[in-house]
Amino acid sequence: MKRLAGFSALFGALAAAGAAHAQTFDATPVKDPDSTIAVEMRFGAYHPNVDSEFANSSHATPYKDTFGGSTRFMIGGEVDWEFLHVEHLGSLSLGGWIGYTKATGSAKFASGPNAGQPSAETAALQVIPMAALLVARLDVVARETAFPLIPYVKFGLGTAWWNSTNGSGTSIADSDGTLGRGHSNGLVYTGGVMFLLDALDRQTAKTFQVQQGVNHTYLFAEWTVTAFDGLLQTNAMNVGDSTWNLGFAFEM
Amino acid sequence: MTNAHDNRMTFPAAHRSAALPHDVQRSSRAGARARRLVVATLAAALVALWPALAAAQFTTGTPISIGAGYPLRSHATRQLRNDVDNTPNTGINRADCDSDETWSWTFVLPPGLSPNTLQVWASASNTSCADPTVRGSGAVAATCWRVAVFQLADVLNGKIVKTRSTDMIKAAYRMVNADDTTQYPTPQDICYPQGNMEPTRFYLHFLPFLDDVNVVDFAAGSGSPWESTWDTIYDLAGPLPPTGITLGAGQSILVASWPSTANAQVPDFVGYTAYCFPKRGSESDPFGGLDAAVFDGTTTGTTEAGTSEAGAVDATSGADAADTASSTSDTGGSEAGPTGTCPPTLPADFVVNALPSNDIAALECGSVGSTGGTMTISGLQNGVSYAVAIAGMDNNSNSGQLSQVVCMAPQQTTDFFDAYRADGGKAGGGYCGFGRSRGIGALAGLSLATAATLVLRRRGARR
Repeated sequence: MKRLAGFSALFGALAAAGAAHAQTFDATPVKDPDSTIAVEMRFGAYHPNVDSEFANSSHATPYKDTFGGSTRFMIGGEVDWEFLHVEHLGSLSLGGWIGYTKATGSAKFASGPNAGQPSAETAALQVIPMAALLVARLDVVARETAFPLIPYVKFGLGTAWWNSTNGSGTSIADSDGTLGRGHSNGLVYTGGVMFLLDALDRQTAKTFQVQQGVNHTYLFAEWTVTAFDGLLQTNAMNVGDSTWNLGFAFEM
Repeated sequence: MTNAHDNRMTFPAAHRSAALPHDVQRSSRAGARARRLVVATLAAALVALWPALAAAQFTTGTPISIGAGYPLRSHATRQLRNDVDNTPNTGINRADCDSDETWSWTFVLPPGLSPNTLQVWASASNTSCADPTVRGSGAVAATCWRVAVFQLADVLNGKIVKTRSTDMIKAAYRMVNADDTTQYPTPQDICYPQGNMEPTRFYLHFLPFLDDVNVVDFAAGSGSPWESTWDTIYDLAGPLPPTGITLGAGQSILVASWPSTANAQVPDFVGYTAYCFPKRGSESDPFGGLDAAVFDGTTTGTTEAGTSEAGAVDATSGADAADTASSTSDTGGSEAGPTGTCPPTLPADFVVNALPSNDIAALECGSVGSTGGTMTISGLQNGVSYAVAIAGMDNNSNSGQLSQVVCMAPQQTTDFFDAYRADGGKAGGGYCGFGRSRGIGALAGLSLATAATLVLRRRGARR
């Protein structure tokens, strides 16, 4: 709920900014050359659901015990290719997405008088998720109305590489020597809305188009479910999450 | 002045004046003896003044040149000179000085220049060394000190002569004539300054001497001496060590931390190096492979007992060493440092403020290339107490003094993956592991969606 409130406030602020620029806000529907490529950069909180694996058994929380409950963030990028545009409706694109997040904490002493206490050794978990996506954008709103908003949904198949490290490099389990890295497959679902920044300053947008070849620039917010819990696998670590993301998109 | 491109030395502009002695006195009719006396006097004067007269025949500005390709230094991996003081591996460092490295020179003297000797003097600036009042030792306002003296016959026709690094440093840094045996008699005295030293430029002055005092003028009586200079740098000491070091333990690692303020402004700073005793991989034989004369493992020698007691690891009140040889040995042990238990016996020169000897250098166990206050030392054995000291390094390969010695033993830890596996987690083994299929329903849904997309696209293309 806090996240929802936060993002609602953000969009409220953007709307207010738009209103503040009413005298330069151009409500003319978008007419533009065909845009075939979209590049996105996103940023958001990410908390791998590692501990969910034990929710119905030992209730252990190895992730929380090592890294705590503080928020970590993920950065990511995506490139979409629009292969179909339906007039008065929207477009379909195929895209590829990749992200990166890392959680760090302290390894705990295993024995002795300080057993269980944090040591000087750094423990970390890196997650690199990636996915192939089908993206549907409903751009009729931005093209044919005065509201520069484009709702969209994404659906795809992906995998996340993960790597556990300590002071000596990649972890090796003390119990059986298993190497501490792997991958987890899963599905990706996303729903969001893009705000067309061109509407705030058409002249700058035109200049950007002429000089850099960027037809449109967007600010977007989305809710993403990355279900990297082991699709087509057994014994996979759940490194997925459900979270909000913010980002910028450029259509070229 | 020197030409930076080809090492040719050029002659500076003449500024001083001097009278040419050429009195001739006609003898009286009265004495044939007097006439003979005059002739004899004249002949003596001619002999005495011949070098000056010969010098007057030079073409003004003809320089004394260094032979092509010279100087050559016996430490081939190091450079000779640079135009920027902080260029790495240039000039004379402590190892060059301590090993008494030699530099070879050849000279090309201008036609007619025939000094008695060609001398090399060193100073901190390009200011002339021709004036005898500035040449030490003993000169009141000395700015130049002698490095070497070469007889004319030794430098003619491209013969090779050599200067020693210790002589150049003794003159340029210690400000003493190199042949003055009463001061700084050994490389240990010459080459080991206290504290840090930054690269310092010095100048070698090449001067042809008429005698022991006077430099040959390029034009007789001009008062302008032949003099050429050639410059490089010396840097004999590495950066100061970090202070306030603490050690933290991990699994097979130690993490050294210190306030990251030291050496932040030192321009030639390169990084810190950690030294660990016992040596990694030699925990079962700590003194094995080390110089027996220094690290013989016994504690009865004055070396072990003396230096380790005097160092930061105060042994007088610590746990008794394992040996029982003598009282001296008993007090030669080590006590726990600020962060852990130290090994019972340490190498003699593994103490604060000591310069890393070759044996200490063999104990290198980690490095970090910044002033940032942390370093992870890996590859250690859990449960073994290590003594750790850290020294700075500059870009002329000078190691600074050792820091305080701190001790700690690595301990087994549980990281995230250990905890995950211990809690029953099954994942891991590498990036490429696959298992039996699961989630077939979702896969089927994805396949349908993909197929529908392709159909839609095809219909759109047909229209």
